[in-house]
Amino acid sequence: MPKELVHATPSCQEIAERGEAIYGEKYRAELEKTSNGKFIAINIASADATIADTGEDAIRLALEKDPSGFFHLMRVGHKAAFEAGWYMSCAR
Amino acid sequence: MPVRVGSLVNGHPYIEILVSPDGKKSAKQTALIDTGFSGFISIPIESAKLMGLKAHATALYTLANGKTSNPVPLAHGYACLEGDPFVQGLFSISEHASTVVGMDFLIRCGKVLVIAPNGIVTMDASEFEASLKYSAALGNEATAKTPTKAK
Repeated sequence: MPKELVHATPSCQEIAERGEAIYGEKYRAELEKTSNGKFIAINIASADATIADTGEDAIRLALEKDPSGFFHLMRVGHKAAFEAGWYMSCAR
Repeated sequence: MPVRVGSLVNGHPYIEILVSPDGKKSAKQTALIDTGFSGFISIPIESAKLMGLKAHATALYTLANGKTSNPVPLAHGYACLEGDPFVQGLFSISEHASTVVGMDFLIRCGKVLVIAPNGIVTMDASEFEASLKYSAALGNEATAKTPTKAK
């Protein structure tokens, strides 16, 4: 198979970096005026965004559009999609 | 059954939950309840592999110290308290050793968490609200029946 047709599975770091870059370039300015607090799932291949009230809804709807896609989930106006509690922050 | 009893281990609350990749086959897990975790469930990577969870997304977390985590893989899955219907949610696949349930799990399952000195209880939010109304009604009735002191 030609090398350009082999799609490697992207790493978590690659998905997140691509998603954050797409959000900054295409969506941040508009959404932070209109949709603060909503969740956005960004398809890193198509740069398509799916916005919903919950993270679960955003990912589920994004997967309906592209079942084999990879997505980065973000929360509009927040540094991160979720808050970790003490255990996830501290445990090893 | 609406009321379930969990346990306090070293001061931390634990409950038994069922987790499933498809809402059909399931596995029982003992999960730490962390009300500071805003997500659904965080599950160790070994358990996620055994369940057959497939990650198709990532997300960042704000840690307790205010810093942002490295990207964490996310997978769609199902979970519930034993005897309840499954609810869908996002599983964070972590490198930690314990399964953790967060606020999104309690909310999606419609549960109230009561923490007492010697243990914990989860109950249906609807039952809890009904019992509060009942208690309030009893309190009003008792107040109405209490004779007022003559001046």
